[in-house]
Amino acid sequence: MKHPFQHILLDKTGEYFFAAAINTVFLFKIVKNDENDNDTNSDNIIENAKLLGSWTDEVDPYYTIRKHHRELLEQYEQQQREKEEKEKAENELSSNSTNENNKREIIPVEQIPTSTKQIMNKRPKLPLPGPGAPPTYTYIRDMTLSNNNEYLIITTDNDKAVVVFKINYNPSNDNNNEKVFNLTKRQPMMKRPSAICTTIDDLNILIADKFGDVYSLPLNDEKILNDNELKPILGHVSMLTGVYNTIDENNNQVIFTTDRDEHIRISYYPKSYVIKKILFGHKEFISTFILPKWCNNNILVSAGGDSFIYTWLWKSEIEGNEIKCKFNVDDLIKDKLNEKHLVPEKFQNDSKNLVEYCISKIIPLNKTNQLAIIFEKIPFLFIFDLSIDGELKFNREINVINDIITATCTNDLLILSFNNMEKCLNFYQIIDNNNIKPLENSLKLLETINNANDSVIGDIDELIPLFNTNYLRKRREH
Amino acid sequence: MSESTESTISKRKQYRLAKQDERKKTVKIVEEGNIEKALPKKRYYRQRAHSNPFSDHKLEYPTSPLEMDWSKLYPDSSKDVTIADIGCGYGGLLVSLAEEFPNEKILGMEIRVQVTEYVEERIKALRENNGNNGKFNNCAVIRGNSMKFLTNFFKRGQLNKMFFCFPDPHFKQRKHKARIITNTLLSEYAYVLKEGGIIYTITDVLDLHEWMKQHLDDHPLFERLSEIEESNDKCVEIMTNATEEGKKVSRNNGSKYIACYRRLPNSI
Ligand SMILES: C[S@@+](CC[C@H](N)C(=O)[O-])C[C@H]1O[C@@H](n2cnc3c(N)ncnc32)[C@H](O)[C@@H]1O
Repeated sequence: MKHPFQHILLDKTGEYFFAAAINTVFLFKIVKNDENDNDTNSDNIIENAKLLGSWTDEVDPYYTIRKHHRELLEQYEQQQREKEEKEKAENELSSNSTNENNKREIIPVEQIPTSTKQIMNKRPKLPLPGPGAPPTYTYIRDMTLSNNNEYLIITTDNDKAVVVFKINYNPSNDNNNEKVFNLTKRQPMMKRPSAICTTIDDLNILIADKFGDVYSLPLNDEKILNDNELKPILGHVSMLTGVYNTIDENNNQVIFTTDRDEHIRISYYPKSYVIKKILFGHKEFISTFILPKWCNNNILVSAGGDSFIYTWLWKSEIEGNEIKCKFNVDDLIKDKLNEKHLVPEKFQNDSKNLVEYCISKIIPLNKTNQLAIIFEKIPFLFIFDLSIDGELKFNREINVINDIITATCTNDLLILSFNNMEKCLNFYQIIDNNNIKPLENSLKLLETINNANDSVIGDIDELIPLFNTNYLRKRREH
Repeated sequence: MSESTESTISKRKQYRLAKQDERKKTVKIVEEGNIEKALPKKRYYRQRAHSNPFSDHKLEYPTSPLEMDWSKLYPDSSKDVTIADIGCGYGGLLVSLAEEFPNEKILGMEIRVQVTEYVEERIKALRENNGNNGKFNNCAVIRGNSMKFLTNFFKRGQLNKMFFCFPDPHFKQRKHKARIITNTLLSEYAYVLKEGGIIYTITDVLDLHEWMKQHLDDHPLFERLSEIEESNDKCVEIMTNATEEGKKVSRNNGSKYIACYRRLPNSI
């Protein structure tokens, strides 16, 4: 059976569609009927999709274990060398010395207890994951496009790498060797990248990691850096969930970073050691944020593990006065929660009915100045109206066939990806504020894409983790 | 990358053994003046030496510095806290600073629960022993993880002084991110410090001293105080002698390494 797409992404023109299933990413061209060639308005009907190319990550699934073993062995050899040198130095010392008192008593080898001998010469254990250990996946975790649409940047789970491709959107039909995905570099990071973006000018990639650090790497330079050449440009002591570069009210560049400990931080860039301000308000982790285009960069929208969608006038001069709107979503979803939202056993109450939910993604619908909101493991898409000055209003909910993994939208095309083997995608056309309708040729597109998807699994327990957001929730210990 | 070479292992071990020895000796806190209310005994408040700054403790912290209710800590909360002792341990420095700066508010932040409780009791006793005449009303302690939530307590530019006295050394290379001075945390310290504010550091571990110096030197928002400035600053003398760790180091005739840095203006 086909593996669903854990990540999907329409390019900036809305004519190309990236979809990642397990460790493969596909690029499709959205084929429109161009019967009326001279008709320049965008009313062309989408007919089908065409596979342009794909790339499969064939990195060693045991990469991390091998790296760890290598380090252990190196460490052991280093210790052995140091020991030998020390012994040599001591031997020289004792043989040169004439003073009897200086001579150390040498214990004959047979008298050394075995346990001590073992410690002295112990080769490091090279642990292999036991049967209960969580599997190590080789999969594509995140994808983003450079602002100029030319580069696709993905992050992989296993070697914690950032992989950069120059995309050839127009491979010629007659030359089959012409690649679509041209890998320019694969940079392994020390900690797993948890969010990425490119800078406004596309000169650098900003990589935020699980341990709270942000690194800046040149996008175009093919050189791979060693661990000790990687220096963070800013950091939180908390897992980062988002990073974004933009311009503030004084035309200075800033970087937004959000974390699992409720912080939205704004730092200057490139002087990232100067914190501009911090937006306080969330009571749980922040999983997603955007700066919608139609708000002219003045409004930030954020959401995550608590009951509120916030809109922020982040440029506000009075610090602590940035919150524009705080929308409580409890009522919208309380009767849509099910057994999938029960709190894990260990943290349950006595009546075993404690539930929790979170928002996993906010997608801007630029055509209608609206937001589409995905709640983790809820088969509805929620549409909100967002005014230019940050006022948020619930518009409606759209019932869909399954829990939504993720979504992407450019212009009037909206695509959802589902946890469903047969119908893993659905395509919608945004007509106006109150009308989002399924695309007529939806099934045809789905078929083409499904046929191209060669990420096949034998059983549902081979699915890679598709819903990762609620894991960000803090389970507070002592 | 070798994570724990022979030399760091033995350094760590030596350090730990020395600390263990030290703990075995009984420690008495001697306060000046007449002691009426018995001061809390440290041995009832001992806890493991470390608490993981990366884990999700059950911590209380305000959603934002504007929401912090300081009246729980200070009888008179009209003025903002201006001096912070980060990882204040058993509170010796807090108490001395409270006497030295009667018109400023001093806050100790400590991640270990029992240690925090000890300092709370200690301050309570000191206040009562002074007939609740207001002395020591200007110091308080709070349990918190400064590495994660410092900015939830302090507004931008609120602090005049920050103290980092005898911080945990975290010898292993892999644990260096657990150190309380890193280039990324320094940006947060710069954020809560006002221009001209001062970071004080002291340690008995040479490696850590070099590390802190290196990171502060490299950070564009800090500049080291001159030797003269350092020796003229009474806080330097106080932090050298007032903290419990500092006293232990003195008893063992250990060295103390000091480095103080001024917060420079932003240049954006
Ligand atoms: C070695 S002690 C020094 C105590 C005190 N400054 C002195 O000189 O006596 C370091 C202290 O820092 C505390 N600490 C470590 N990390 C911390 C953090 N992230 N936030 C608050 N306190 C922390 C430890 O619990 C410990 O009590």
